[in-house]
Amino acid sequence: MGSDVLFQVMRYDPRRDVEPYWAEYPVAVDDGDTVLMGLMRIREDIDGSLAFRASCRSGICGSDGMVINGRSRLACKTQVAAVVSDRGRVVLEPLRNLRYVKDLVVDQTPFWQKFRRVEPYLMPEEPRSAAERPMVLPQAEFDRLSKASDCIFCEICYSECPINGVDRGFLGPQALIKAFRFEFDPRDDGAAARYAPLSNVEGAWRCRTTFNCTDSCPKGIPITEGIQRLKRKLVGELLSGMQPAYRTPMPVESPEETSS
Amino acid sequence: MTNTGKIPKVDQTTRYDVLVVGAGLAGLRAALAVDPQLSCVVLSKVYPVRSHSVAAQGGINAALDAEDQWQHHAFDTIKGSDYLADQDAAEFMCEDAQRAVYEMEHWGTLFSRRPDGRIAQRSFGGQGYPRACYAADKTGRALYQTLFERAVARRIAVFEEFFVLSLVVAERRVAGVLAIEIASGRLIAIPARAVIFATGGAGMMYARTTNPYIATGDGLAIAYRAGVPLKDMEFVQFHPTTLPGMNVLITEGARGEGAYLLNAEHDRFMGRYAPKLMEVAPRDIVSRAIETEILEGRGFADAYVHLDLRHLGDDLIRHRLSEIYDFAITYRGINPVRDPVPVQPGQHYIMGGIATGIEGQTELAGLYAAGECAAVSVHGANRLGANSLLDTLVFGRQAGLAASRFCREAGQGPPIPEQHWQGWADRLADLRSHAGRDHYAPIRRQLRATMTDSVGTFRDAKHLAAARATLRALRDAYAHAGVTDSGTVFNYDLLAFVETGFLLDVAATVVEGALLREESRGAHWRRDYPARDDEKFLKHFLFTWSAEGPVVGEAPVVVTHYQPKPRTY
Repeated sequence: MGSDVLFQVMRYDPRRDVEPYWAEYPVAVDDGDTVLMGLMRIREDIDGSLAFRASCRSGICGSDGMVINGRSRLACKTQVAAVVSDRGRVVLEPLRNLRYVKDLVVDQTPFWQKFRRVEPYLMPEEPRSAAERPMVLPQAEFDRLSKASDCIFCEICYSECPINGVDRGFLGPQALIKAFRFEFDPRDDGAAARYAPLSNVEGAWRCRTTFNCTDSCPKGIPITEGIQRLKRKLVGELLSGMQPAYRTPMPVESPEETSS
Repeated sequence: MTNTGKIPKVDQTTRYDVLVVGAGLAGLRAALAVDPQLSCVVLSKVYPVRSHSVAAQGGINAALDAEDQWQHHAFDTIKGSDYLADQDAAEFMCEDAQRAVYEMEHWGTLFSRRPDGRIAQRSFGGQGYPRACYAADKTGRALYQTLFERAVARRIAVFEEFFVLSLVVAERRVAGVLAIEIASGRLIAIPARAVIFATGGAGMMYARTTNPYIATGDGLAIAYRAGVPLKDMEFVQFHPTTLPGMNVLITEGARGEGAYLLNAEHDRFMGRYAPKLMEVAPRDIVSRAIETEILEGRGFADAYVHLDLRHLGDDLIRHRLSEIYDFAITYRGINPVRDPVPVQPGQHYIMGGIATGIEGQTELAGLYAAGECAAVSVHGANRLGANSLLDTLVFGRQAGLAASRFCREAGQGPPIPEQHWQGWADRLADLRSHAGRDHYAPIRRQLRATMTDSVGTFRDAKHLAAARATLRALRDAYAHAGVTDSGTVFNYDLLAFVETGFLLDVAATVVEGALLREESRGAHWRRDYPARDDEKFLKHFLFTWSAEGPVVGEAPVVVTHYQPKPRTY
């Protein structure tokens, strides 16, 4: 093992603690080790009670988003050496803009509700005839959509978005880039169904183009650009006669549906 | 029905017709195949999109071209399996492949394209024709997103972050499952008429693995403990190319696109092991070749060889292999456009699993299984690359259809007996109230080291017997071990404790099968028995749980058209 690095982790168990507190763990770290490897060492060797989500270890499942030294990142894609220099330690906090639950765990429910609200699937399910949805997709169209479909649902954009911080109703960057992925698929016919959620006051127009999502996305998706393209498409739809929906907020889902 | 993503109230009285455990490709495909007239719910111990299906890189095989035929795909699969696949099952899968791929295409999967816009296909290990459809090197994610989106569209109910502890059996049929709601720690009994397990693999029993933390053999161990036999457990796939350290997967698609394997002497050594197919020989052969080079001193110092992609060119690497380009840079600081990538074999897949038939049915009435946790068996002794995604879609659907038929024919299921519920409640309460006993983590670490050191690519009786003794000692230690976290909310410590028990049970069957199979076939290579022995071992082993350890039975291999022949590439 290489040198010890101090991990400073926000801890909180709602059944035990009045408020969150900082715990510090010296962790043996080798060159190239990720923050997630350090966290696993804490859980296995120092304190088994530390709660955090993790699965694939390689930046594809999106489980281990957290705030690392002030910025939302994936613990499995962040090398300790790359972040430790700025503070001399690794400081870990839960993602922002989502309700805090325990240690590094947040409640992701609103994120998923907003994802579902944009009807994120190709419509209609079955092509009306084979000719209507040919199994041919030009390479240029493929490239444009392919990058947008790289999303791993890690919630890092949601955590870094300043609008999500002040407006709990805003769909957020992830739901919007998902909508983009279908709205710009030549095989899709769902624009009418997505028009209301995208064009209302909590939809695409709420984006203030701060580029936080684009800057923080661990998959390098140009999210902001996608949202701007969506806005342009919405203007087109408005000019072609669709009713303006931007003054009508979406109904808030009742709490019964989401409580356990 | 509720939307994906919500957690409706669950209690002992909510009954479902079909309950699916696992929300990867096999689980969601099963749920989508369930008769919409029936009530169906999917349980997943993580948010569905965290399932390991998303990590599959290379492709999905289907004979799409006019020049290709599904029969050739079936032959390649059977030969790849070293003739241990049940040939009727392999033929069924390969014949259904075209339908499965076009269905995903229609549902919106963004497959990579040929210049004329049709779905592109590339070469893959052990295939006589380039028939792996792909989405760059993120085929699993592309397929998974489509299936997940379809599940959202169909409003399939998912209980997210529910950890299944056990299968409830009453009146010799499935009665439901017992699960922990991870967010609250509540123990919940969910009655169901039919249960489908699609819980994935068990790679966490190995130290060097491409598998995620969640691949802990849950469904395998739970079915096994409920008396359902496991099959072919000695066959564990080691993927030839993983990054040393974390053992992150480097897709076979890299070699399919033309990358070379080079040893420390700059020799393209595959010529000595598979002169015809070279780097795209099946995985068992390439993994053994790499291990042999390393063991004979022609590898690099830290036990690896080189994967050289440089001649493929900047554009191809960045576009068709974008994910591994990113991995090499992120985890090793190596740009594959300019430098060769270090690779070593790592555990990747288990060919064995819950013994099922072509409809996903098991020996237990009402229990079905599909995907990596099942052994139909289409993969036999060695799975070909780009056949596992196909397996999940074909047999996931089969299980969903069969479970629906079962519900229509079998009437209401029995209620969940209270003693079943109470046993686990007492056990969990005991663990929580005695937090601070010896932690399970050293046990799991030793298990993983033992499996990698003694039950890996090369095996022999001496090391396997030692591994069996070690596993028994670990089982005894586990009986007295405990957890640190006494809490209820998101107690991952407790879950990892239970998972460690699952892994110990599954690993015992792997070692038992490896000891008994005194031959070398597919991924199972015995130094002390280096030849295939069809006379004695052209058969499946079945493992049934007992308190003393696995009881081993046998089942014949189904042979339809392809008589076993020597396997050369």
